[in-house]
Amino acid sequence: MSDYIDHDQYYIRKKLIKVLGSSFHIYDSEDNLILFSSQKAFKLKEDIRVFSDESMSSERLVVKARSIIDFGAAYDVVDSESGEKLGAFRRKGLKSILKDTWELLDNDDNPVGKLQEDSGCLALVRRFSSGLLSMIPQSFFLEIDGKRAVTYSQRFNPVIFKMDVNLEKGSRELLDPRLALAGAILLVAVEGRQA
Amino acid sequence: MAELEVVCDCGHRFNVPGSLRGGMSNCPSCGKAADVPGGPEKLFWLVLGFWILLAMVVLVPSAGYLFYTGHTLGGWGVVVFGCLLVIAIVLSM
Repeated sequence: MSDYIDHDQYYIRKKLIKVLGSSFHIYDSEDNLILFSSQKAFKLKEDIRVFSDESMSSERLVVKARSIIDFGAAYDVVDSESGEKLGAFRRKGLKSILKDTWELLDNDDNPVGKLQEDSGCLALVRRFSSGLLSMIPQSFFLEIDGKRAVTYSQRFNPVIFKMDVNLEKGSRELLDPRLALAGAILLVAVEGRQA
Repeated sequence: MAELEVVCDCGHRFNVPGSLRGGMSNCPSCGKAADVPGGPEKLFWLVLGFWILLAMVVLVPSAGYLFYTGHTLGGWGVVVFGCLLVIAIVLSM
């Protein structure tokens, strides 16, 4: 298993200015680049390939949509090194209109966890306000069996998108850290695009 | 939902729940993720195809009529086509 999952804290930096497509970098708590991804624009079906660095020579993770239709789509997470599917995330389309909500699924598509925006009130403020209020940073929690396993917190920065990923103590017993990172990747790539 | 049969690259055949249509599932034999056939793409192309067909049915005769009568309303055709295309894309999302 790769060493990039040995950390408990990560942060993601997304390039906001890119002519076509988007890209993001994932760093560990010591500012070392551990993962990089670049997506092409105008792709019908989301297929996010995550590499160990910008040379894109060593693929680590694949996050692949099951359908072209984005509303309520499920995304499978596969470890590129072992070729094994780790699980999947399914976006709850209707619920996400008011509050971003995802389900974490096991290999047989049974729900095992929930990834959702921090507060319903703040979610509404972000959606239906303009100016500074709409820039209130988002936070998400990934819960397994009602226990908080991962916290995703966006930093307040109108110029550069940055998100901290914190694996709570004992979370490794609840979920594979690669799934925690895949959740962050989806929040940046899919939710970020919708925002 | 009915089960689907998956054929892994290693040659092993196995069944998965229908909800995995268009996704991936681990092969019980080799442990690697195999593609599950299907997906709702057909619906997407059906809706898009319908709207493109409708746009053509509306636009081609109207463009021909405008050309024949010498009207300079060709710009409206572009607007109508654009609107239909936007509706098609929105409906397909």
